[in-house]
Amino acid sequence: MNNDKKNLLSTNQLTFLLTGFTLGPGFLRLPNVVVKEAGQDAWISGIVGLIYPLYIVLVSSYIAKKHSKENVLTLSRRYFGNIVGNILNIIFMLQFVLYTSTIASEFIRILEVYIVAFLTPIKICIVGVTLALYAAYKGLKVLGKISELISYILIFIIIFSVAACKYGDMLNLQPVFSTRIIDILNGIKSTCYCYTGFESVLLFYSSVYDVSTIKKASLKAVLIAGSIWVWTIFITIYYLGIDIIPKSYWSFIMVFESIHIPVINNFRYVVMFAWILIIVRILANYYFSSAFIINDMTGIDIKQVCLIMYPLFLYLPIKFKDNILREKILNFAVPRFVIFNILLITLLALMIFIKSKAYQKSNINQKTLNTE
Amino acid sequence: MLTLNTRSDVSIDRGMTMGIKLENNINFVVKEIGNGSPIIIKRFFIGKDEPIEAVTMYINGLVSKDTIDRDILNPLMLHVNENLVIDQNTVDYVSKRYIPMSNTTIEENINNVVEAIKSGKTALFIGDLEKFIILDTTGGEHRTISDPLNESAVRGSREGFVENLETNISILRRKIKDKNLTIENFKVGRRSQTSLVIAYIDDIVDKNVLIEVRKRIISIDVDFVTDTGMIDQYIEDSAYSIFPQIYVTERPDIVKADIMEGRVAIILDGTPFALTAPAVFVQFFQGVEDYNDRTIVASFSRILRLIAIFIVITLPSLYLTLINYNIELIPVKFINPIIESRNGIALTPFLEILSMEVFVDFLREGGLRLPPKIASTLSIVGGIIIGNMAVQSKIVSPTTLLIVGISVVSTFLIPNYEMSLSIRFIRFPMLVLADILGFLGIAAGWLFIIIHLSSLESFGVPYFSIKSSDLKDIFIRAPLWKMNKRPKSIPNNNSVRQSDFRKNMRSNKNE
Repeated sequence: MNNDKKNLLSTNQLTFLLTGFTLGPGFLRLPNVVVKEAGQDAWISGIVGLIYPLYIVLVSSYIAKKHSKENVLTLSRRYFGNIVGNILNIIFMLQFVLYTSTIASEFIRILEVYIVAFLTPIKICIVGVTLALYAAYKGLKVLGKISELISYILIFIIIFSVAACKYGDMLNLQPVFSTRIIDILNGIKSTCYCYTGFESVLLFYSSVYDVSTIKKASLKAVLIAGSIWVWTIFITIYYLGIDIIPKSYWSFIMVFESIHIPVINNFRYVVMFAWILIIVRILANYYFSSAFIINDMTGIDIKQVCLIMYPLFLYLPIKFKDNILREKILNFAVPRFVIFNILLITLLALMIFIKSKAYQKSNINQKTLNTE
Repeated sequence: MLTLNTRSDVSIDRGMTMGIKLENNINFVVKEIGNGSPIIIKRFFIGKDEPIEAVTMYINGLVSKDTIDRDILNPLMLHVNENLVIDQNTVDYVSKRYIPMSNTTIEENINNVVEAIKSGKTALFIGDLEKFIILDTTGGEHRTISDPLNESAVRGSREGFVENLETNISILRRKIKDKNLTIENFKVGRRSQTSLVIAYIDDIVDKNVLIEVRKRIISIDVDFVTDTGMIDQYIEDSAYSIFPQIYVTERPDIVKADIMEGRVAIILDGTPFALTAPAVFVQFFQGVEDYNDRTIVASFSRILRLIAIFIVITLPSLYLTLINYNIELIPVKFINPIIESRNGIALTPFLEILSMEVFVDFLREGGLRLPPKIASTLSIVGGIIIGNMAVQSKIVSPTTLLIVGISVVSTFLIPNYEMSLSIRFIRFPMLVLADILGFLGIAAGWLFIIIHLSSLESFGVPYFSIKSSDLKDIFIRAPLWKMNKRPKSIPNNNSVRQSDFRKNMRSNKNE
């Protein structure tokens, strides 16, 4: 038994941890968001939108390859100086805090609507956030493990949605390519909220056992998450059509209504069972990441940070339960965060590239000097 | 109890002048063993014309007296027809010539003599010599090897461990003849000084695990230990977890299979229960028969067991949420009978289920220690009278009783007793969660279990891990000849268990 191996993430765990950062409550209403812009060609937006996570993952793997032992927080401090680096890290952290809160608020709303209408929002929030705290408190390895396990459950549940093929209609998707390019591009913009999360690879690649597999693992994660996203958009349009989708807030759940299993009166509850696990998982992952960055900057024990943040994460989701407020904040913040992320990692990668080139050059010079 | 022998004046004189060291040795041993011990000191003479004084010492009850009389006293007192010369080789000579026993050792350190006497051996002192003969006369009454009552298997060995450590080790040795089977001895308990051994296969076991086990056993500092159950609690990782983190069994065949997978077995003197560590979660749901029955049949029982675990934990709470909060989920045809059966019942569904669950646990706990004759009364009163009357007096509804009954029967499918207790316990928090939070409570409970299991460790080994290659032996039991590698979840030094020998058979068939 190798102690390092025990505490570090396996390749599979990294893959599923990343999907655990990206598949949350958001994609239940992904079809709504995209269809609003891109109509029945929304699934094209879904596919093209994958460029963003792909870019993030590829550049991140480049950074990981060059600096496998240091994460993005250390690197940004090193390349941008302590003060600027820390400011960048705080902005980087803010998105994790924001997403933790919005995901928790969405958790409350979904559960309120679908299964536990008799509970007050604060009770639902306490249950979700406490579980997330418990998982985050146990550390990254545990998160990796539960991400892996819950991913299998998720994939199993998604397979059930294939049943909707029986009832859908090809006409719902036609005519293909009728949407204007600009609308498809707008659709891509609206996928951003769902497609963020892969930035987390920058935080955790240094905790992976086999560094050489990071690229493969994260690409696999994009493939899994991407195919689930595109499938979600596709099957929802196919089953419901673009006119009915906006009528339900979480249209993908309606797809599962097509499943009829004897004795189980309503398959939706089985789906909700899985979804509670999935949402708490993403909540725990974001919770941990927020705590991880604060721990990195302040040096306070990560377990303590988790506990300190608990009241904040109980308060914010209740605030964000106001749909209009949340939409407003997300509409404002998400595109800016996305641009920030792209800029941050591009700059970082560029600086690493230039430095390594300069280093190589000086190395070559040194060698030629030596040989002379 | 001192036995004085007087023969001739000459020999008494010799004894007086020579016996000072001998007496000192005897006194030292008596003092070290403790004055209260039933120590027997038999003094006698060896030799023809000029007898030398000799003494045997042993603790009454731990030895077989017949062996001492027949194999030590008889030859030494009656058959030494020569005059022994006292020198460095006397002890060796006596041992080789006059003691017809297989297990004798010569010891120079008197402290080791004390330890040997404590463990049922006999010490022989000859004159003032500073060498002592230790004779293995271990005996006394022991329970014979019998069927392990609490872990009976339809298809499997009838042998169970007993209380005697040596017998247990011999059972294990008989089962594993590999030269790498290593047995290490320890003493546990400051006052009880109970013998404990750990057994492992040296070239399979992971050295880090082994060091961890050793370290934890050595660090135990208590007055006494009576059972491996205590050792288990002293050395396990998370004391407050519900789940057992060390496997307990009284079946030697399970211990054998476990140490073949790279685990370490811990066997304590005085108890038939052996421990194997590190333990993993799935191990507790693997029965002995799984490996002896046919693949498909065994896999079916595995799946049944999984369903049973789900039922035990979830069914009562699921039923509670259905009738409490989500009536729309109950299929229409079931609604009428359920409503009819619940008509006029005073208790709330939660109290109803809880009271029945608690009552069933009363029956279980009560029946545990009852003599068999009274146990039948318990089952009649508990099962038939109370069960029937609870329904008729409108305390609980028949549906509730059915649900509780199913969940109780399901607990019997879990092969390991400790794990079945743990799983049974989970029902109660689950029920409370379901009552407060409805469906969310059940999901939250399950998630809590998943997170908790993921964070547990047993001797530094993850308690619950998903390894694709181990799936051969979790939900199903793949054909034995396909399990060529040892389970990955248990760290080991030698992962190959067998070769793919069926391949040769297949190629023969094709020819």
